[in-house]
Amino acid sequence: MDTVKLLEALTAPYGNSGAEKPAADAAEKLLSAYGEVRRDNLGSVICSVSPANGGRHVLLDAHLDQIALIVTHIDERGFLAVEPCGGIDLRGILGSEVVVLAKGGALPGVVCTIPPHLQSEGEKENPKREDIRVDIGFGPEKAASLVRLGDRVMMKGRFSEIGDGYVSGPALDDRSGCAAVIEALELLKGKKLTCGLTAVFSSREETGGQGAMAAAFGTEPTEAIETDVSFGAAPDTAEGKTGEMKKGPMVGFSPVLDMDISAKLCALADRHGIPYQCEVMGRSTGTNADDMMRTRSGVRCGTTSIPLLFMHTVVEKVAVCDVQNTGRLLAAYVLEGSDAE
Amino acid sequence: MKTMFENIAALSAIAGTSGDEGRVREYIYNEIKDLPGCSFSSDGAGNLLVAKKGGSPAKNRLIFTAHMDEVGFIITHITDSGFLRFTAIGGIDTRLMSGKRVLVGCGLIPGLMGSKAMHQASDDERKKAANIDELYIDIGADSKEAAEKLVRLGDRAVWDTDFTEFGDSRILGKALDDRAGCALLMELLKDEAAHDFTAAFTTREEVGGNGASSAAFGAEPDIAVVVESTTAGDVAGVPEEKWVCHQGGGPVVSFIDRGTVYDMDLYTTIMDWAQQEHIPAQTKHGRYGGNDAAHIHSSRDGVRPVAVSLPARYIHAPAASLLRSDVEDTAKLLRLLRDRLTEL
Repeated sequence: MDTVKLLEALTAPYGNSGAEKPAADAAEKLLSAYGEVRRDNLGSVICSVSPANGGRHVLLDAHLDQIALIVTHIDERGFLAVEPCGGIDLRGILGSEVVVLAKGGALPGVVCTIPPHLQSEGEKENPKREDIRVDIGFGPEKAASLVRLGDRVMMKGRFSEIGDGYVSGPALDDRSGCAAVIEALELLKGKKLTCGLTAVFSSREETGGQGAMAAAFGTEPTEAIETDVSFGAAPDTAEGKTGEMKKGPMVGFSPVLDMDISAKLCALADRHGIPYQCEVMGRSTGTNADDMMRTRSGVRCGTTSIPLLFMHTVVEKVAVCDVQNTGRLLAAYVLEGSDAE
Repeated sequence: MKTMFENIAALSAIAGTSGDEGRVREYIYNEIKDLPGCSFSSDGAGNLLVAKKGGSPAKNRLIFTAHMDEVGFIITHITDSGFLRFTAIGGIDTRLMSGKRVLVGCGLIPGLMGSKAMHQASDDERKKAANIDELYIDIGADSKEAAEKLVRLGDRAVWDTDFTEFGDSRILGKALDDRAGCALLMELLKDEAAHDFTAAFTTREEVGGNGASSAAFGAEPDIAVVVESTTAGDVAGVPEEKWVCHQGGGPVVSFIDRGTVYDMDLYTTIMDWAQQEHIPAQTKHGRYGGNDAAHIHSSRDGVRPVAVSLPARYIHAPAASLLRSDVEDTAKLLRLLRDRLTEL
């Protein structure tokens, strides 16, 4: 499948943390071409591509869940009080269109904005999470009959190609990581693998990483590569704190990562002429690698992150070539990760 | 002929910020050009003026106005890395901008509005509303040269919003302020009027009402009815006394706002007529907002001002909402005014 189509297929269904099923169903369909697929107790999608026979067993992980809001209360006029379920960017949430995933179907809505004449003079502040309300255009009785507490409220966005080789839309964090893993599996199709290989699209990354932790425990890899998204360079980002768009996967270096894996990823990228960049972190990585590395008696981890702009908004943007090059590097790592210098 | 709500939906989709109303004007003209008894003209401000022949000449020269322009953005600079800097046309809260899609230029190129990731913003940056010059639009160009092939300085951008039905018989879309007003004026022109009147589709309301003052100068009315969309503050977190007006209350007839002290006789007469004819109507609870009446009522030797507005939630935001029944009741009241104000 063409990479853009793959990204669209992966991002079209909703899947907030703890409610990943629609996204998991789409992912399962795509993964079933590469091995036996199952779901674990936390809703992660696990694809056994090649059996682990006591030797090297690589886990490729990307997370399936996306950020959203969750309904906590319906007020006396029918407005929904919500809490972030994952780190929603509150700097642009006012006036956003949303979709409430109610039992009877999706309901359109808007995040309330206080009209300008009621805003205080002087410096304005972004809303606090406890002040966010959603207007679904129904009175209190109708609202209460349609919406259950706990229903997810998704920020409305749209997937599209944009500019010169980019795509934008909601949930590219981290479905673009899922796409890179699928690209790797496609490259490995028909190749004789000497190691075990499992692909995991994990649940609940945005709310703590429990999905990857459980999946790593359940699949017992000897090493794991996490493909998440990371910060792309923009006019207001600090030099050295981001990756550049279209310059390939960002290979992670961090005290929680395995130094040999980081070095191998760079060496393999050099060997195959795959563009890459180094992402050096002084502490943990902020990805599922932090959780997978401490499962059972420890899993050696590496990260290959895709540079992304506007993280945790509905206009997230990635370069298609970065997704493809990440897939190439992952495939090379599976094939040659044990012998690269 | 399209229905009023079909016109609202179509008008909502058109990009037309202040000073760039051409596409809106063209749409309106094409929809009404074959209506009987209408003669059309435009003026230096870009207004579309429609003189409608009624059953008999009017005692009072009457004009209805609605503005064609919407709030939006104008591209001011292209960075070396191909990002667009912009400023707002009209009053837009910067807290609505981050993470929104916009359509840029005549080609309606998709653009992404925002700034660095929240994770990389300082506590202070996360807390305070962004300054507009901290934001940028990304059109996916990798360099200034690549961006310049697609966008010129001065190009406009508008919210990229699909018109949607929602909730309990409500609509949601961009630019309902004041494209819904334009659709209401188109309704007034459709059927036979008792007397002659003028409908003016005006420009540049969101940047100060220059269009309306030109239209009033040209039409020389005795009475002007400004048809607007105004803030309904009946949303979560606002106490009832601060609502100003509310959805479900029908058209909003003003007695005062920040730009105009309205004609008291006309205000009370209109409210009485509405009551007699069982058309729901309300007024603004407080001195809030302003509209083209501010410029019209001081035109030439003076014009008696009236404002009839639709109660709209979230105006100037990517998606404003209207209650269908409010739009229908406003259409009823405006027909009444069309046929009665001319003969007062």
